[in-house]
Amino acid sequence: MKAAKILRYLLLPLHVWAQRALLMYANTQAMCTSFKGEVLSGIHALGVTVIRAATTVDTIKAALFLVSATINASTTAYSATGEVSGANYSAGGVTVTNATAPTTSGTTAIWTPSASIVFTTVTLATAFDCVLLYNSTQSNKAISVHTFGSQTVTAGTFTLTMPTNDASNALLRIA
Amino acid sequence: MPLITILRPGSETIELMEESALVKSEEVVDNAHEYTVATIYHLDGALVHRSVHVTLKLPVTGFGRVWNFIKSLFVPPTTKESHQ
Repeated sequence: MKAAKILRYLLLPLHVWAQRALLMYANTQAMCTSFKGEVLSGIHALGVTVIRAATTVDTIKAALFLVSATINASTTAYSATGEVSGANYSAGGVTVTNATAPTTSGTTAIWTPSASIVFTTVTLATAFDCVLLYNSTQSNKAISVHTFGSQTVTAGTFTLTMPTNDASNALLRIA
Repeated sequence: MPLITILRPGSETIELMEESALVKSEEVVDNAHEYTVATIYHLDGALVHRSVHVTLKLPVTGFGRVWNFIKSLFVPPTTKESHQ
């Protein structure tokens, strides 16, 4: 009798796992996929929000930052501190081409700029390894940080090619 | 023959020079994080042009459902069976 109880106890996790794997529950806890996509479009405001002047797409910008800078998940807004400087580079960076609205793929909300981010004929002599995407329409609030190997550019073009805009590769994903 | 923008050492003026007059090299980085090609030109041994093309491979992801699912794995079962 005691052995049967122990066996039953040991098998319980498998039973739970099987239920989860086979999705036998009628209700499944989840963040709604539609919500994820709508978050990217600013539809929901679960906290105090801003008064938006228009329903149009915000202007997204990309700025490059030096290896010596500290840009990370804690960054809340664009600042020129630690930003690269050099010929033909304007503080604040370049405007990101955003012709493709956020969407969902499977249960993942995705967004990717619709064209490469290009800094044309610049000279950036001090090593940089980071690009910050930020919303210049909304007080330069930070969106995402992307790092790469340390680079310099001499009288050349720095190009960030965008990945495929799908659930596995999109630049921004809420999974 | 394509023209390349160059910046001679000590100069602040960008010039155009025929590619054939320059020594071209490439540096490639291909790892799990990025695929990067740096195209470099030298003139008389001096670096005069460096362009960089980066393709990021790792997107940034916010986890909603996935994180909650992972957390749920560490929560003791609360079903009726678990108390038997």
